[in-house]
Amino acid sequence: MTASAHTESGTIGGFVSGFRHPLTGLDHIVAMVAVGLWGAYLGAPAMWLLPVIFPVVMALGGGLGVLGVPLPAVEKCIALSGVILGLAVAFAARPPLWVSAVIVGFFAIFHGHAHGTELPEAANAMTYAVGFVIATGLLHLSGIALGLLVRWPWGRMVVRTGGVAIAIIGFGFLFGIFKA
Amino acid sequence: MRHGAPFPGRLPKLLLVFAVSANAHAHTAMEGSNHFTGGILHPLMTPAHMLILLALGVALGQHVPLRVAVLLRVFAPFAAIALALTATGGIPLHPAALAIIALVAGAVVAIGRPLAPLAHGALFAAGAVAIGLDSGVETGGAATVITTLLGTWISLLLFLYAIAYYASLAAERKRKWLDIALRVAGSWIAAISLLMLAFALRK
Repeated sequence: MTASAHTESGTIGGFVSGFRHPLTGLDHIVAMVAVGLWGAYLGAPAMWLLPVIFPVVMALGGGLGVLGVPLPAVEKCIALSGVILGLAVAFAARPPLWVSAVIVGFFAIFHGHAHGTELPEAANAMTYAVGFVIATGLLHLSGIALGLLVRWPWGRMVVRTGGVAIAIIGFGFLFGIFKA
Repeated sequence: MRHGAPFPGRLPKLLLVFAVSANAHAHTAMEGSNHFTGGILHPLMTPAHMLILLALGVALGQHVPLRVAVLLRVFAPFAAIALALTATGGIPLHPAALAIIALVAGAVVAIGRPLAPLAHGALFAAGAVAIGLDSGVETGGAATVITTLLGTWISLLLFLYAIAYYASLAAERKRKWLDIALRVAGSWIAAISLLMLAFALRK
């Protein structure tokens, strides 16, 4: 039972570590929430398609980071994701579904890569991955929940103002005002 | 039962009975019962196995009416064969195999389209073999090994059926958001599996 207790601790530790990881960087948080907000603005099927695409592509980027495959300008692209996604929400941009999917997928790779590179060596791989994906998904769901305010005129203002705030934060990271 | 399933509708609740009895009889004097219970709980204690069971179960249940034939004709025999093989010394299983199967099953759920019967069967056979080969009993005599593996086999079938059953209840409601929730769950499983695959390849 002692051995199991150690495994339990490692298992839970891995989950907590993975769950906390996407929540520890403001640049990541605003981009994830922006995906949900934008999806809600675009309406079905984008509202659900974007949060389906993002975790899978982000995990692909995470896998590249875990395997040590380098990507250029990761931090810049993460900051840029806040700017682009924030502006898309702020201006209520409605591109074709495939365009929004490509934009979201493109940035998801960089977010995932950053997380994969920063993965603690000791973490339980399986539960780390579970925690990581669940936290990311919950951030999207939070964005969607906020984004659903667009059904009211005042809600549209709130959501678009949120987009402006996200874009400003993105600019802050892009020009080094905020540190990742 | 509307599903036309051979199991009674209340059968998934038996899982709770197993879970409760595992605690209640942890110190039972009945020879071999601890190994059986250990076998029953094994898939629950192995997150990679649960991930595959979850993905396969939802893949089975998200298209109604629920067809459990693949469970009985494909998953059950392949799992039994693979579990039996572990008793003969076992066949080494690459850690990436579990992640790849979970990835494919998760992607199938996320896409939300029914697979061709042959591909469907192949996926369930692969899942059964991978989980089975990864569930070997390392210590103990023949009775211990057989009892544990029997527990694992029964547990695999029950968990898979229970997940499929509840997924089919959601699918039966024909509510768009429930269908989407299942597909989002599939995408999360695929994402977790992708990371698992990277971890497995890094080692």
